[in-house]
Amino acid sequence: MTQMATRPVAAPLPPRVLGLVNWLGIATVMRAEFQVYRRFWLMTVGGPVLSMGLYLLVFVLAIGPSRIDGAGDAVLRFMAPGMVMMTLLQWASQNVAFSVVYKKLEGIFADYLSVPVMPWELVFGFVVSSMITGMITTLPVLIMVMIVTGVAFTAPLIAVAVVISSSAMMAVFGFLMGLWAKKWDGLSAVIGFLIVPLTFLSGTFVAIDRFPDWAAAIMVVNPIYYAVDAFRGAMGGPYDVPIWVSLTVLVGIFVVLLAVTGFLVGRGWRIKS
Amino acid sequence: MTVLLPTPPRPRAVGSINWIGLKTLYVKEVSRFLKVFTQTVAAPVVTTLLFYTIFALALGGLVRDADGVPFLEFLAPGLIMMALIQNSFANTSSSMVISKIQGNIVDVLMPPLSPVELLCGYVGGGITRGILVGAVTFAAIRVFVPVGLHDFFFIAYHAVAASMMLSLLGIIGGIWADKFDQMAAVTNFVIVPLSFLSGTFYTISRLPEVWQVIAHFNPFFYMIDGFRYGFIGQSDGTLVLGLFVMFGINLFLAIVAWRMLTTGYKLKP
Repeated sequence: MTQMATRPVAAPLPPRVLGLVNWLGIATVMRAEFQVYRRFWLMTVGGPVLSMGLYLLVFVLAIGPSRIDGAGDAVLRFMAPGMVMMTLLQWASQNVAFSVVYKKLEGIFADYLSVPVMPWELVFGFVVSSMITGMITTLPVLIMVMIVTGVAFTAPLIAVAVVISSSAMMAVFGFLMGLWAKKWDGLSAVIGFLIVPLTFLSGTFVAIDRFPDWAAAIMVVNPIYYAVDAFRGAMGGPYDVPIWVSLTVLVGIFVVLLAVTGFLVGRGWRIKS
Repeated sequence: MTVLLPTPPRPRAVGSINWIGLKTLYVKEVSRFLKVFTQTVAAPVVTTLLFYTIFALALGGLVRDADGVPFLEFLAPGLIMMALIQNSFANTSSSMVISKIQGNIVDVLMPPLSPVELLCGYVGGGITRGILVGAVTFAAIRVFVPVGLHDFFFIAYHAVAASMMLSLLGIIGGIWADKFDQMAAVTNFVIVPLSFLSGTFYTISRLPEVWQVIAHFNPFFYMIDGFRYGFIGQSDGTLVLGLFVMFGINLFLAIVAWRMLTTGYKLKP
């Protein structure tokens, strides 16, 4: 009688029970985003500091001697919060948009759709990581601008609220851009013809009352205008719109965009064939 | 039975210059950017106009004139030049890097094109895009601000010399870079700073003296200064020197790029 050696067999893994929220899935989505961001730190952190530094330097030099009499200083202090916001909003939207288009074109997006991550968890992971990377990019710019122009926060809590709500809004918008774009051409068209004009016509560098009427009319419906205006208020500068109105606008647009994006991802719009 | 064979085509005799090859490469380079002209022509023009508007509005009340010239007229040539050089650079550098990464650079290296002809084809494409963007921007600005023409020779010379210089730099950078992010680093950390700090937005006379001396070593200063003279009839530097500097730099860069193409540096295994 031959005796078979009984080998102990490892008990099969029990199926993983997912709670209401797949936290591990969200954390993994975010980790992948942070890794890309870190690998290209020269572009993602060094580039924006350099370009904002150039803007500042050029403005200081162009304003020139009139800086002494205080008028030039006022202009610089007006621009400072705008430049910080411009960096934050550009990067919060671009990080996620580039990532989504890249993953779509390379066919990596399928990996995200085949794991047990709900559409809203996917959007949440992408959006929050883009907000955080956008803030990391902006921090050195903020410090530089504060040192050069001497502006400081007068209402830090409001500033935090504006930073969070506006970067969330732009990150969701970035996700939507990424979903919509079928190729790099599409993405750069949205950035070149929509994002860049909207950031420039948002009161970043110039107060609304110096624009001609038609441009001022565009600015009032430009969400970025409210972000810049409220942030300037939080840094002790002049603001046109009551801050609670600005915050409501930012949060409201964020919620609408989030609902649209969640719905589209759930439907698999432009990501599932 | 004799079969009548058509006479085989004779080998094509290429003269001292392969005109067909050169023309084909040039047409390829131009149609490459015209195919996506919204990105390569329209977007840069819109961005430049936005820059112009913002600077005009932000500083208009504060800086009325630069060395006696109304600030808006002073600013326009500088911004046109900036758009022109950035697009010349983008054209040749992106063409090089993309062909290298996609591997279709062999299609350009295989045909009977000499290094000089390759260089002319690529540079021609870069110059065409730069000058096209510059001309459209000028036309658009002209609608709002009466920018005058003072000396057409300086405008034409510096437009061609500057776009040629940046096209050559784009070829050199494109051959050197192995990846897109290296190319982006060159654009962000070399080309943009040099063009920003060359007196596009302010007169050099505003700078402290040490910086004035340093500014004179920035080749971008001469092209913008000479180009601006063509419009407003005033300059910061010596005009004749500017002509020679641009000529010398172009000659030097052309030799470097030509050597790279001849030796096949990073192009041929």
